[in-house]
Amino acid sequence: MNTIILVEDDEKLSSLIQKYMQQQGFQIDIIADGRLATKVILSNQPDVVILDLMLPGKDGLTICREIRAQYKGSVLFLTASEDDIDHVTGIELGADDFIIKPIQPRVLLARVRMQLRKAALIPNINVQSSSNEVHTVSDLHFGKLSIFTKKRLVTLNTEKVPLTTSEYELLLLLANHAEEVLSRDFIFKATRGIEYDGMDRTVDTKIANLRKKLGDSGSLSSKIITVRSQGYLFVPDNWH
Amino acid sequence: MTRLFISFYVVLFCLISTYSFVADMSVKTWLSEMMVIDKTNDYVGAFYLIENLHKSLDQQAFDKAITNFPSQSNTPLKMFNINNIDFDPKLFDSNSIYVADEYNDLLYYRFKDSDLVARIGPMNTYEPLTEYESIYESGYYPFLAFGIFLWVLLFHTKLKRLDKAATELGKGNLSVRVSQKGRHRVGNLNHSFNLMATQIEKLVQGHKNLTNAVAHELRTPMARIRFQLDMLYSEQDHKQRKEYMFGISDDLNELSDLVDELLTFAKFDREPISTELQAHSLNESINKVIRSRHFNSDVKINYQQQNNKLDFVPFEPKNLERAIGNLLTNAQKYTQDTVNIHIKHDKKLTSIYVDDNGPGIPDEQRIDIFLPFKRLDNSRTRETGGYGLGLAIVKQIAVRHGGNVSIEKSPIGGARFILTWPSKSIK
Repeated sequence: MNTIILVEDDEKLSSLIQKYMQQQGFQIDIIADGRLATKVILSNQPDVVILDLMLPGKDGLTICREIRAQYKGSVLFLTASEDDIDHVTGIELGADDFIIKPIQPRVLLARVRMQLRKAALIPNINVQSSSNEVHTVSDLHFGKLSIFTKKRLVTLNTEKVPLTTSEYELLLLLANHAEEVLSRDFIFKATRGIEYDGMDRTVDTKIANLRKKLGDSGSLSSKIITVRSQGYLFVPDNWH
Repeated sequence: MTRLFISFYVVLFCLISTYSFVADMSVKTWLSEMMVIDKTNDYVGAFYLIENLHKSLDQQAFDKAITNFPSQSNTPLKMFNINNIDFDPKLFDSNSIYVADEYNDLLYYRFKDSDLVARIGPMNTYEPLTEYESIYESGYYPFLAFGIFLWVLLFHTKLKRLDKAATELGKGNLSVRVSQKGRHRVGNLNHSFNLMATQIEKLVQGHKNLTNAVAHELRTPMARIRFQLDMLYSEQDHKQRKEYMFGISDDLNELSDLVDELLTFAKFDREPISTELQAHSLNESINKVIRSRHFNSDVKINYQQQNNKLDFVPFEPKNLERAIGNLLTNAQKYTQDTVNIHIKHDKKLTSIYVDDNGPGIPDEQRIDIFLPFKRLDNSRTRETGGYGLGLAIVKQIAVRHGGNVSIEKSPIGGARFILTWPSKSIK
């Protein structure tokens, strides 16, 4: 069982995260006071540490700085501020990823799994997931969703889903990078070869069309999730 | 730059010209009278000598002396017969002298015992000297212009520096300041500019901090709602689902309380400080607050009634009650078992003291604690509740009343909050 230590001072939020991660088969411990975090993390050596940036006693950045030399696992930052400075400082300190509040459970899970996969603690779901190539040879199956790459055919519940070429390519790209948060910039480059200028909403429109055709609702989407201000996430295990 | 120079120069030129013109005009009459006397006195001796020469020499020798009068003399001399002069002989004064042109030294003298008239003048000047003088005079205005140009150039450079800084500030670089060195200074302007820039920077920074804090405070309950909603969505168990729904409801209540408090804070921030306050009974207000805000029955609230004679002081009942209420709520949260309230009056100030016997507040945090979203542990622990705006609102209300709020150590062990404002309405 993979182990997580969550350092978060909001009691209700941390107990929710604990409950969810336990349901997903993780062993998760909570520390509410920043002053205690360093010692506990170093002695327990969990696979992943989730650190809130603003903590009573000692802030997340300080804790990260203190543990980094002697802690080999991944550090995920949980933050309410999108301030770029925080990000840069965090990455310089050796943070592995950032999650901006409000977090969605499925996104948190994907991020944690991604860290574990990087550390080779759990196997990759797709061998191709590291390549940016849109076209793959093998067919993809996620629950009731199947993508037949040779025929360029997508079926849901064994029924054919009519998709335009660009929608198909987008779906294939997302599916090949399942559990990864893909930025609009990345999606734009990979599907059209043009750089995303931050204003173009074509990606969002296409995602909305895909969701509609694949039976995923907009704001409470569970299959292709919008990760606020970061991009999109394809969830491989919700196609039932 | 050119415009500044031209306008400066033209104004100066006009001023000088106007002055000399007006001055000349106004003194001309009596000046010329004095000059006539002056010139008469200048040459009266010379005429005396000529007349004596005429008396002592015979006609021929005198004519010869006159003819041989040095031609290069600056004061030429010429003799006339009284019948040949081109002005009225009555013009000769008591000294027999007539000043025809007092500016160019042209004078006539009538001999006392003959028909002869001697003329001196008009005065000449050595030619090159005149030229030199005209060159000297014509250089006057260009020289003035040059001086003014240099001065304006220097002034302009100083202004340019200020202008650049102001433009930079306008573009949003709030950290820009101008040099306050002596040679860069334009009066007190550099100092004032820096003062203004510092104020603006502080204000904007404060605003930014507040916005960040608000975002942070709003996002925590939002994060919980989002999380619970997603879990609710995939949860099948009925009891569990209900629990998530209650959880979401709690968080929504928290959010709406926070928004209410924020609006109150914003209102006091925006509303102007009222200038004229009506007198009300402070006793009544405090009793009212104690009745409505005493939520913790484990805490004993002692209030010492005050002298009725001094009871009526100017304040806004609704707002001051809110401030006292916030102090009381705060005290009840942190105290062990007692909260003491008492009032102190002097001629100038009315003060309300709220004492508790809780842990107290360290010296270094006694100012910061009145900033919005400041808490002693510098995070958002929910144990004590509240949103970090209560004391900020107290401060705002105190300032509205022309007063202040401060913290001391209370005699019963904890913190003492003192809310003070003027006893007499500010007119």
